[in-house]
Amino acid sequence: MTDLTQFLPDIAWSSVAPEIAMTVAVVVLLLMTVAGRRRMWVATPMGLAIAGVGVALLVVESTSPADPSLPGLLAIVAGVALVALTFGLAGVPRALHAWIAGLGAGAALVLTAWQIFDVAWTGSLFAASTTMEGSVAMDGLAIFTRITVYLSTLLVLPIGFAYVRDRNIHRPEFEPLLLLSAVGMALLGAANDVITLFIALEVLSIALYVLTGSARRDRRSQEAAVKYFVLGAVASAILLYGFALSYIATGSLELPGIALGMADPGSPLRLLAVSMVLVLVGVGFKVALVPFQLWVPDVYEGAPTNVTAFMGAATKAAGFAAMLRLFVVAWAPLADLWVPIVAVLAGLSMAYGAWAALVQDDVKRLLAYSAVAHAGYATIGIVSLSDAGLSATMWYLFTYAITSITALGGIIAIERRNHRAVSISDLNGLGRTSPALAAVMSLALLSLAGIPPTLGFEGKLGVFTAGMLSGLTWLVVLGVVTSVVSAFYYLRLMGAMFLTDPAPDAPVPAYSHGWNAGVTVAAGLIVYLGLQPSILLDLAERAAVLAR
Amino acid sequence: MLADYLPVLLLFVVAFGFVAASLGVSALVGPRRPNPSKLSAYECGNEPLAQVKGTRFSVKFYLVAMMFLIFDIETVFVYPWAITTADLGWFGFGQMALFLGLLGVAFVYEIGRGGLTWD
Repeated sequence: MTDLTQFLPDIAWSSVAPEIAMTVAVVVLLLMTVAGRRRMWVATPMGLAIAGVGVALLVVESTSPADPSLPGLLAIVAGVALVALTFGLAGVPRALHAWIAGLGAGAALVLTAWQIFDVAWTGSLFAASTTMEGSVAMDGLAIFTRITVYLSTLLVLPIGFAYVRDRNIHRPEFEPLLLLSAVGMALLGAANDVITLFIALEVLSIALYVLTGSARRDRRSQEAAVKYFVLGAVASAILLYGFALSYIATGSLELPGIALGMADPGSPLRLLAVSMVLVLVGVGFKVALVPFQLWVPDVYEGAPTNVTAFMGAATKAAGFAAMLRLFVVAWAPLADLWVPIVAVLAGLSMAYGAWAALVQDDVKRLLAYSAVAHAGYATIGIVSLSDAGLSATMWYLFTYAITSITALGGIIAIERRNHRAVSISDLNGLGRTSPALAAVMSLALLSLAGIPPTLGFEGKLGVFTAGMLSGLTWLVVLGVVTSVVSAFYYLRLMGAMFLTDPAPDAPVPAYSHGWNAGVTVAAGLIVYLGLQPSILLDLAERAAVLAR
Repeated sequence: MLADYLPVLLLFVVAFGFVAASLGVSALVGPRRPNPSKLSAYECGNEPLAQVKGTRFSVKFYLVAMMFLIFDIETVFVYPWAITTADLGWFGFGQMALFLGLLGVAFVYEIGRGGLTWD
């Protein structure tokens, strides 16, 4: 017998701490679903176990360099909160589930902050390291993606809470699937080898397919789910084929190893080029770059609006994180080959998104085309191929996530009373009938258009600057032109809200406490970070460190 | 390197050639005098009693098949661990306990939500 203990990996749990918190929340939610009225029998032992782990983290001498006191305290608080919530909300299981999911996402966000300051911070820059035998990266990109993903989850949960009740589409699996999808996204940002990357991608995608079809009696939702699933499965297969070819060519599954293999002068360049194109197709589908964007309008339109908000905000951040890591780390030696291709795709996305949205009447569809355009803007940062471009893309995705959640949150409020898709004429006179909602929507639309005092402007400024610094003048000019074009249809929505008379029988938009809280925070972030971007922008600039 | 596979290719050619040749020759030169006994299903099952337009399965089979597939594959992961338990020690035991624990949660969920009840 050989001694196998030498092969045992050293697992740094701290590098996936937020994901562990989310997974525990998923387990609790699933067990509670099964337990029904006897949910105390789940909550008490689970709460005690979580708090017990917390005590152990505080008491037991740690060998790892990371200071475990904050996760310990957090686990104790979360364990107690779990039991208290189960007692307090015993009569309203739906609210209980949403609160537990929120607890999980909140804990994940706190643990991400802990990762920033206790694990991956060297004083001025993020330290880049890998754990789990090089499979999981612990660097700026991983952590910044976590911030975007978990913040989006935390915002979408309360905003959609009353909406799914009104449409009568809530099932107890909703929250676990949302959290699992977020776990996949966060891991996608951290994945440093192609296997981990692919598994994270599947975790996020499969949960999203189900969420897209969660309105089971709505044909459009079913259609969207099937379209998303079929096209997504094909894209995943193509991506996997690309990984297989790159493995043949370089003999490595880890992204830095693939780059090393490519740098070798004897490496088969043609095979590598083919694998690069296949991988581009796969991730291009996930982030909705132009030739692979056909699913976007139908899926955005058909999915329940809170799922659309989550999908548009968080999936994009995660998909771009994977794309950044794949192209900037693994395919870096072939940059001469892929930069022109990806730059053209970015230009096409911006142009197509801007022009196709001009003729849309359904607001969700319009925002779907605008999502394609925004994917193009975010890609400028990637093809800039510089640290500035890297942080610009991350920062842009954050700004886009917050903004699109706010815009779709506004649509949720209108759709709840309409009980059908929201067309532009439904916005008529909203400025007079519901000025607060119209103001929030306008804020989000201005931010999407990139008008100065908003968050969206800061995001666009970042990617355009990075593009100019890297000499991509034509792309930046195209970006500015399409921004102007797209401002037209954003302003068209605002015109409907403020310059037309309301229809006499127009339903009053519906608000709820959760919606108020979520949209207020999101709109507040748009204004506050629009005026004072330095807090997160600094973080993004320092996060341009990739594990190589 | 590819030349090493030449015998395999030859085997393929011979196998397919033999089948094609024997079936082709028998179809070309063989006499054809069918009668009801010759045309009946011979050692291949029974004559169908009624004409069925497209065989119908209950959609529930799909769920059972899925569940079986998932748990079946999970057991495959347990085998290699089982034969190296002693070498992997407590670390391996902890990992497998975690894995089976998560699987158990899924199993409890499946039963609790009625995934295994037929009606």
